[in-house]
Amino acid sequence: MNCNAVHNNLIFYLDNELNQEEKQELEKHLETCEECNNLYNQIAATYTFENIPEVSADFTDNVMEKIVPSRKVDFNKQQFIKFSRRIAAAILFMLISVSAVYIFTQQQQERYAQQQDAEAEIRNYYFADLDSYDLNTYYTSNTEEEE
Amino acid sequence: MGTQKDFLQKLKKGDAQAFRQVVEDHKDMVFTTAFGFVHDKAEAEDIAQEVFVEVFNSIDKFKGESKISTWIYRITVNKSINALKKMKRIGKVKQTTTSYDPENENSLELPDDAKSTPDAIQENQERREILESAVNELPENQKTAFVLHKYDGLAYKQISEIMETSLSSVESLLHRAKSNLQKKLVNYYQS
Repeated sequence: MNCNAVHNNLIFYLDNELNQEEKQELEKHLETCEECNNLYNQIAATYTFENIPEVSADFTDNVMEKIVPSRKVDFNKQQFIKFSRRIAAAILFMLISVSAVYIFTQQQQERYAQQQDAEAEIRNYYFADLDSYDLNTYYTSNTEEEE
Repeated sequence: MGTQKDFLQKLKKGDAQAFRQVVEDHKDMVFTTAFGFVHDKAEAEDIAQEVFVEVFNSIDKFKGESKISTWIYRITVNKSINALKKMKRIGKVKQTTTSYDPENENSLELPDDAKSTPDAIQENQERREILESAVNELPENQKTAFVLHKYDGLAYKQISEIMETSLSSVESLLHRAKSNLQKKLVNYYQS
């Protein structure tokens, strides 16, 4: 293994990712090449991940202080949304009911008016010459005759 | 698992005790990941706080299809990447532009408090900054895989779940990340 190959494999050697043959060749080179050995020592001292600080002791309390009030607000919001939805549903139901009653009443009135018109038409057709003649009187007299 | 479902229900109902448990169980992993990206304790704690606020605010969106830790890791990675971008914009991130000079111990710009510390501590500080700068210069995906692997000590499978990619992609990302880091470190110490 030459110097260039050693430079390309130092981190993989440190991470124990070289096979046995590559590892032995690299170690052999480091024993004989002072320059590569110095470079290896520098990189080995730099490529470490041990000095990670610890999170502060009051971290959890600080987070909870931030979270709990905002969660409560969210809860109130959710309850408000739920309540509003129910109110909206009730209003919609009432509107539909009132509309249904209104439409039904209108239809009834229309039907009654049509019936009235039809009766008037019949009266005009059959009894046009009996302007002052009352239909009820006609029916009543006919019935009495039959009896 | 029934207990996990019950626990999730508690979280969704806003149970403060359940939230506290989530923070206690995950604060170290969240902080370590964030630190792997920003390399600053105060910044990493700020990110970690934001992560938990986000977890609580969007717990209703969590369907329980993956582990809660995987979901929290994803939020942490996103928040950390955004925070790092912001730090770069305002010039808070160091670059490995300065080369190593064995004759000059102060070849790297160090904060004043570091200069007053004993030699060994100062040397460690210098080395840490070199490594951090080299990690910061990695492309986003390589950096994410590298941080999760080296700082959090996660296995390739866990990383692939967090990054929602295949195992072979994670292997490739880590190999490229290490090769890039190696080039930077070799260049730094050889120049």
